[in-house]
Amino acid sequence: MMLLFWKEWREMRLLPVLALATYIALFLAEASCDRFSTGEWQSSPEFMNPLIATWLIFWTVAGSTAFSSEIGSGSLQFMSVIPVSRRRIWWVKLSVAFFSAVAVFAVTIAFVQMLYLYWPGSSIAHAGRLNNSVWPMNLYWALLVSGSLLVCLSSGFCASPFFDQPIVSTAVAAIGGVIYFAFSTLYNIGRIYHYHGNFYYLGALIVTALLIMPPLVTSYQTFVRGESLKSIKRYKVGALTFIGTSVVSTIIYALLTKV
Amino acid sequence: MTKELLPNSAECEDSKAELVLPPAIKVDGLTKQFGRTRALNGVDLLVPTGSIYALLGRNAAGKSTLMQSVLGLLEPTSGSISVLGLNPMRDGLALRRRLGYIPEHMPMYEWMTIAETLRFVAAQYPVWSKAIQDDLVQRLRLPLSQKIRTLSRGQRALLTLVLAMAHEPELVLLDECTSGMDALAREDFDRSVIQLLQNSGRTVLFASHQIHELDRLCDWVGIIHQGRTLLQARVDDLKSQVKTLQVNDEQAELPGLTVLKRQTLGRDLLLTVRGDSSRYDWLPQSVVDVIDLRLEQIFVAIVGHEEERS
Repeated sequence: MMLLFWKEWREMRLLPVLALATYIALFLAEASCDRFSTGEWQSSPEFMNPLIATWLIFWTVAGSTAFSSEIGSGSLQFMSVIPVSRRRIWWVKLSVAFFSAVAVFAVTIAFVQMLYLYWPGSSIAHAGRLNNSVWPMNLYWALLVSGSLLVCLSSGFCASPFFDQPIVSTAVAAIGGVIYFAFSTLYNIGRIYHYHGNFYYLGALIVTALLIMPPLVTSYQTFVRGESLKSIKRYKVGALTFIGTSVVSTIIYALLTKV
Repeated sequence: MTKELLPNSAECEDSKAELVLPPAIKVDGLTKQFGRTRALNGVDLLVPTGSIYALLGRNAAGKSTLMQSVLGLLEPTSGSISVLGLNPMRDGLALRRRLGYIPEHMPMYEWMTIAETLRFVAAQYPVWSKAIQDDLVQRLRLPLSQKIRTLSRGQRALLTLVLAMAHEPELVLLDECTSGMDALAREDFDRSVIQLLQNSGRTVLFASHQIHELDRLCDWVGIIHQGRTLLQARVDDLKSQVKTLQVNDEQAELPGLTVLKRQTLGRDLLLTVRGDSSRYDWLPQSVVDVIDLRLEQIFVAIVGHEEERS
């Protein structure tokens, strides 16, 4: 089992490094702007945009490359002929993608906090202002962000078993993610966050679970029950699972919002 | 149309003793469809336990699809497969612990070294003989510290051989494993395979269209053509049934023999024929010579005849 984790980490370890490098490059680009010298950036909400964009992209890529890179290189066939269960492969891939995405999330947050504290002209007061305005580090915000990131990861994971080119699966996952967010906004899926006092935080967790269930279950079923080689069966299993889980999610949501 | 080429019950009589043990592989009416393309169209296959079975067929005849179905990588559209008494789709994990697979090209992790690959694969098997692994690595002169991406085609095939053998499989599947190798690498690989598999008591299923290498190794042969089973027989029986006759009379009658192929040799005719082995004891005087054939020549004659018929 440990060797499976080791293999998976070795396969994807460049991605988190690339994500951090991208973030630092973006930050340095911003640092060259005037408002950095005045310290204005420390209370500017848009300063967070590149960071959030990096997270969203990285979580999508971490999911979407999990299978497609191995399908493309053919190494999934290698895994298919040695006695490793597909369930185990799927869970190991999900765990490694999730924890490396969390690591990038944590490292970038730590990086930003350090900047606030140690950037020339910063002070503890600035850091306090940061926590109050730019960095509304409350549970609701954390749930909202982590929910969005999980939707990106699951969207990538859903697309990944269907494509043999990581760039294609990432593009499809990104498009799927945008449609997904648009759909959830359209139907005001987030209102369960707000309207049910008793469910304020629990509601956020439930909504996240309902949103990530269809893509994750689809990915699991497609990989575990579909053939490892390219075949039409993957699409049949994937389509049926996605429709089925979406219906179940919608029914659960409808029942909850009527509580 | 293909039925007459299948072995009848009398022909199989000699083989019944071999079939007292349950067959290692039993395939019944296997069909596999990819969209509109039917890769396998009702294939039947019976691989006796302990036999070395050559599965022959032209390119795109369906050999690899059949191999992948036997391995559980592809789900049959219809029909059934039993491998070592297991269903490959349902019991894939248990089955893969008991068999070794050597395909034409095994895509491994390019960034791993040979030692890392061996360690990674060994960890996935409940039983893995380090002694066999070390012995093979030494015999095949595999450089343990070298990365997979730097290995030659032949070295990759030899590594695949180690990976397929070190867990002491009951059944070994070799799927076109020497295709694309140069002559020296192929000879090296063939020699290693023959050393390992001959007299090992393991069941071996070879799929290949390079038949010369199988002739000295196999005791059973099956031919598939256009997704169908054309023939299954013991190699010795087949060789006693299919021969080339040199005939000096164009009108010569050869009762009980089916002419598969016709060639001229000066004024004489060379007829490749198939029939019961006893028929060759009563040949007309116009037959001046009876020539035994190699497996490759038999394959060419049978498949060529089938293509002419269809």
